[in-house]
Amino acid sequence: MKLVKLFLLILLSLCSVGIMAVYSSDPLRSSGFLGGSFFGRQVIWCLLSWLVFFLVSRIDYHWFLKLEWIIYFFIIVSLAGVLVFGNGDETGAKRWILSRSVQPSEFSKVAFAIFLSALFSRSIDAYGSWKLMIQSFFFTILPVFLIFVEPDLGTSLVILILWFAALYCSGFHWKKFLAVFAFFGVFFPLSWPFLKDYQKNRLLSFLSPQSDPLGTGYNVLQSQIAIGGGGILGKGWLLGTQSQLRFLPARYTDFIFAAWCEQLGFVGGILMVTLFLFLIWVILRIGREAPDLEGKILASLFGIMFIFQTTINIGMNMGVMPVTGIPLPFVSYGGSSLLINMVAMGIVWNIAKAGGSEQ
Amino acid sequence: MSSRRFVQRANFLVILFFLVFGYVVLRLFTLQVVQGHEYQEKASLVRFRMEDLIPPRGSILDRNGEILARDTEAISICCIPKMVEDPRQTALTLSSILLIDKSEIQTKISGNRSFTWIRRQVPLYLKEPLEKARLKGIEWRKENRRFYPQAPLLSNLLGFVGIDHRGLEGLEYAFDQDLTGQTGYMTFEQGGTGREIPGSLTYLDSQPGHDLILTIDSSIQFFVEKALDAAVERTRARAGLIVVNDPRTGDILAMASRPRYDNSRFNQYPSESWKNLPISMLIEPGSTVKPLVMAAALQENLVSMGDNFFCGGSIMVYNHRVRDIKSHGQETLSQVLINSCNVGIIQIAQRLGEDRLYRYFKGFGIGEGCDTGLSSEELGLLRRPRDWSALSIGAVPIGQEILVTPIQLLRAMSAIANKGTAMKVRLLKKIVDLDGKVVREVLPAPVQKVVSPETADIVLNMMEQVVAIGTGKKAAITGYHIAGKTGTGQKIGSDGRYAPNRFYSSFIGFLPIPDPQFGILVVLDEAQGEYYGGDIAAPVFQEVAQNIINLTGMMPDNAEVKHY
Repeated sequence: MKLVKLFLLILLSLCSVGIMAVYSSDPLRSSGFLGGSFFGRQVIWCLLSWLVFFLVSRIDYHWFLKLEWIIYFFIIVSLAGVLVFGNGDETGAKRWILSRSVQPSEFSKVAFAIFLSALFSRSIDAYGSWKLMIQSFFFTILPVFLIFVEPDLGTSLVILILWFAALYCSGFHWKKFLAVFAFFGVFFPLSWPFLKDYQKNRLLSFLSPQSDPLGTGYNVLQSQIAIGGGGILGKGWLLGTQSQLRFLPARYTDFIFAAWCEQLGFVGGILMVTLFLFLIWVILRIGREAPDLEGKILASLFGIMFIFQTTINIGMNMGVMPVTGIPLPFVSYGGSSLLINMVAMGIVWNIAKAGGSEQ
Repeated sequence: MSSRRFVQRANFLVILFFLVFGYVVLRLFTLQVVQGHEYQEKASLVRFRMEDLIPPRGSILDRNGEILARDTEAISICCIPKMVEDPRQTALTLSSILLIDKSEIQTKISGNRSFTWIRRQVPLYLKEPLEKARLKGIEWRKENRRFYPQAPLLSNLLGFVGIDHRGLEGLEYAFDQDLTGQTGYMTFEQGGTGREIPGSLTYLDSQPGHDLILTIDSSIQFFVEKALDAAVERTRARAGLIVVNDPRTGDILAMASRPRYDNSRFNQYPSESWKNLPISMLIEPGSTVKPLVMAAALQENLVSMGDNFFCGGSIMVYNHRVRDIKSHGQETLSQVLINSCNVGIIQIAQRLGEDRLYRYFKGFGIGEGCDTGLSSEELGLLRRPRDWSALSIGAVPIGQEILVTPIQLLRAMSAIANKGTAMKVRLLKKIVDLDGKVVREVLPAPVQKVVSPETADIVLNMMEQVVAIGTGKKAAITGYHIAGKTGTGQKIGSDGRYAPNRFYSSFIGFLPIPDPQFGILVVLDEAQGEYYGGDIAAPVFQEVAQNIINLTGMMPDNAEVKHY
């Protein structure tokens, strides 16, 4: 099958799986499609996202890259706006604007990937230089900091990872790359005093989830019980006890993978993992076959972003990664996330069409 | 950067990515397939709540359908101290309803505990005032309460149940399984909020307990208890017991034990008083076993009615002199029993020899358990002849060196009253379910035929003479033929020797002769003052026998009245 068609098919499957997963774990399912249920809203967001996807895929991706500074300015302004005018949620974190409907940090991920690929593809002569690295680092650290203080550790890590990815894709030498890692290896423990208590607890309970099974370790334990309890074939559609009986927290957002696996078992879990596997593999292949450096870097950055997000999220569901608020792309409930991911996919599709993938 | 380099890096990225996802799949496999069961269990532990459904406990009835024990509905009052708003006022109201001390309640309901009982199993009618009082934090739940309508009648046999409604003593304990029935369960799933999930309720309905129908006749029991009370008071005995049976079937009709207690308030009595002595007391039966020796010798044709014996007041056994209470002089075979003559009965036993004496005693069930099912039943002791000393042949026939429980003794002697056939002790007639359908029936069953009807008849006649003209005269009732045997057994002191002033005084008798329907055994332990069985136990027998005669309307044999 042609790569582009495969890409569309996988994307469609993943979005469908996402809507099913949200439906099955929706605590407000009984209130009906338009009655304020989460799956109803997700369906509307999904339709909107697909519309945007087709629109974006018709725009030449170079056009976005030309907007790099406007995009960067927009990222910084919106993130700063969150801190000033933002709406808090129950954890005390300020992540939303426009009365909890838009999460700028979600948009900033994709926007920043565009900015980075424009920056790096423009500076082709400076590849491997310390200058470009330090320069790009300062462009990176500003949004990372703004998101970190919201606080949203997960998303700020995604931004940071995007920067690593850009360094990697633009061929920085291994030694420089390792030096950066070493720097962060030292820097990261130093950031401990700046972490919020709940973030510290999450990291501690990741190291030993049994230490406080009813407190911070609760999510992870419940999530593992849900996944493990699903067994090979699962407990059946809408029959997952942990997820249906509200033991599993955030089961329609961050822990949706656990809810899915409880209902559909190992078979369902493998299905979802395979979809992600294919999607990311296709994105990386599109990146490899892109006609120019801009396209290569941009598609690869999106691919790496999805690798990072899916492994962190699924890993956290299975108790092998610390709990950070990173949603599962296309599946977790959330309009901003879905919309911006579809924008990214629209760009990727445009790269694919421009490249040799259609032949 | 060359395009080739980028492709290299991209390929490396893909490999890395496949490794990471491979690990994800592996982890998923471990969680769901390898450890799946473990987690499924964990999931249900968090989720399920189970509540027991306790069925009403079976009733215990006597042979005529009189209820001896049954369940009644009661309420137990509990408190969630955290929810109590005004402990002082609440305690005041409660104490006026329950009539218990106010300060006791107040200490219970103060504090921050999440649950405490205030009073368990109080009568149902207290529910109404409690409902009206509307006390916050005070709740009640239905519980079954054991009720003994005839208490303290038969307490020592019936036993009692604990606060958890399980049998702890006596029949309540022995037949706990049958009485309890099958506890049901109600399970429901609860959500993370602790609430019941609608539609998740599952029921395993409870099976009500079965009823026990005993062989006991509570009318006879009633005056047996009365007679025993009077006897224990009169003789100031340390303990006492009466057992009434039907020798033809082995049915136990009455069974009383002193010291007594009230099983509906068992915890107010010392545990000593819970004992059911007729099955648990071990005694050396003394002279009461002499008719058994006589029967054995007659059966073996070693003695005949024409035989004469001489009693010079003592007899040498090996190198030991066994004394009699007096020198009875020249005696016929019957007179040996009538006089309860040690010398005569030992001579007869010597003709039998150790082996045959042992075999017959064993046949009569001496030292053999009675299978009442009661946990406190003792087995008794009859040693095998090879464990006997040279003196044993002079001790066993007069009821020493052997240990029996009172019902064993009654079973053995009843064989003589029942034409030579020993019957199994029957305490339980049947077990029936709620609809009256028989679950288990115990039919009268012979243990074995020990002696022939003719032999039994001869011995029974001798025993009739015991009452008519011998040591058991005080058991006689004018107009009725009664057979009996007295017994006075010395108790063994703590030093292992016979204590000089401590005796079992006993009397065992049957009526009416020649076909006894009732066997009565009276044992008084350490009576003060008089201690001969014929003097203190025989009158108790007489009182019980008289009551049975009155109760059953047994007709006197007028022809025989003139004889006296």
